[in-house]
Amino acid sequence: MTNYNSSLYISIKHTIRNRQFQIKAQLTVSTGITVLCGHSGAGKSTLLNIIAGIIVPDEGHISLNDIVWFDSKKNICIPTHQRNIGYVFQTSALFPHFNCLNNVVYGIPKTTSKQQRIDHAMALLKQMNADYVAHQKPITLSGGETQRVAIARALANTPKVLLLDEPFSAMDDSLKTQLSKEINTSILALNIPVIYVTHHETKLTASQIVTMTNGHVTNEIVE
Amino acid sequence: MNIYPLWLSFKVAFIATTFNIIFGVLLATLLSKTRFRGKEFLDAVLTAPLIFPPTVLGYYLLILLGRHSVIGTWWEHVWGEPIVFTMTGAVIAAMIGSLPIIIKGTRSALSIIDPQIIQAARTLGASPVRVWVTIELPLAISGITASTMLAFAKSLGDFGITLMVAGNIPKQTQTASLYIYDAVQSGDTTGAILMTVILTCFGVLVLYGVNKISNQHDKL
Repeated sequence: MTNYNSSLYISIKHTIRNRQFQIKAQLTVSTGITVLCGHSGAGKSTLLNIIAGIIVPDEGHISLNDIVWFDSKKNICIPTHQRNIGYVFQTSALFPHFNCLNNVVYGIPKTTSKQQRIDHAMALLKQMNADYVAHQKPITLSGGETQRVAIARALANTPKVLLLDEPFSAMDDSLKTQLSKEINTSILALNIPVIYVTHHETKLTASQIVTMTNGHVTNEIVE
Repeated sequence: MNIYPLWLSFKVAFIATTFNIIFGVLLATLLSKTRFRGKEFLDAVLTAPLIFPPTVLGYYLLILLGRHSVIGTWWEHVWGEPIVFTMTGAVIAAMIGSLPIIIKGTRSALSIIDPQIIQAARTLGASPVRVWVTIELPLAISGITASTMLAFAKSLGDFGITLMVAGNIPKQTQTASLYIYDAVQSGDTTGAILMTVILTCFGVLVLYGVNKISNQHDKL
């Protein structure tokens, strides 16, 4: 767990050529939950992919504290697997050929023994109230269970930044509210910058709300 | 009936398929995961054996691997025997004929993997090689297995390329397909029918297996 206030700085421009769509964003994400909202197609997921290094922007700068992840002028682009981020995708993207426990174990660095990694993975699943599905394959899980496991997995590598891309979008309102409340405390306890993408209201305790419209960050409200 | 051609066919098909799994999966990965100049041309060249007449392919190989070619001379210098008109020639002929099947099958299997699963693995700190070994190949295994089985069956029954490159030498390079041709030419109807039935049964069995694997994959 990070014990100091982290700050993720993003200032990028990127054009999606086949859609003639430009993403333009400049924002600072500090420790706590930043809610990134906007309509479908506003560019929220693309911005998350840019932060994660999955998409390389045309120009700009992304850094976490004093570590530069991307700088077009200095020709710096740290690959995704070296950015140490946690990412929960809208579709959960669990590995279908692994059971839930091994999905989480996969993300834990091999610096400790296998048993320690398994214990750590079980602890994460327990934290997300999903330890009872540890030995099940993802295909057998309900929507809520799937996203609990996906969040546990995203925390496996002790990320320095957590990205949540509408993780509860496929759930009904009551489950969405229940899960949001459950994970709120766990996420805040991480003490890292968290970006939560949604186009609905959220029950998470947001420290900042950012709106994205037509690819542009138009509004930054610090609460 | 002489069963040596059948044994030789299986031996040639097994060796050719073993090499083709390695080359095919690597080439499929190269073509599906990387961008480089001339990629489409390389893809066309590697796929060409599927549509070229076997005699054309065989003639190319004869020129490329013949005793007076650079490769043929080098091979003979190192191994003490030529490539052409030997079992090595039959193996290469079978490889060239069936390699595109594994490349196409593997590419197709790799392309249907949800990109977010691969991206998720990368965000968890996995290097591209680790993602390939632990995520992509296991998820593509049904497609790779099915295409390997088809490639094996194709190698087993190759006629034209084998005839051009390895010849039709009984007890040396005469495979099952060439045996059938010889049997028909010499009026050995029983031998021709028996070998034909064996190859037919094996081919149907392989296709049945491929269908089963594909159906299992669809259910996942």
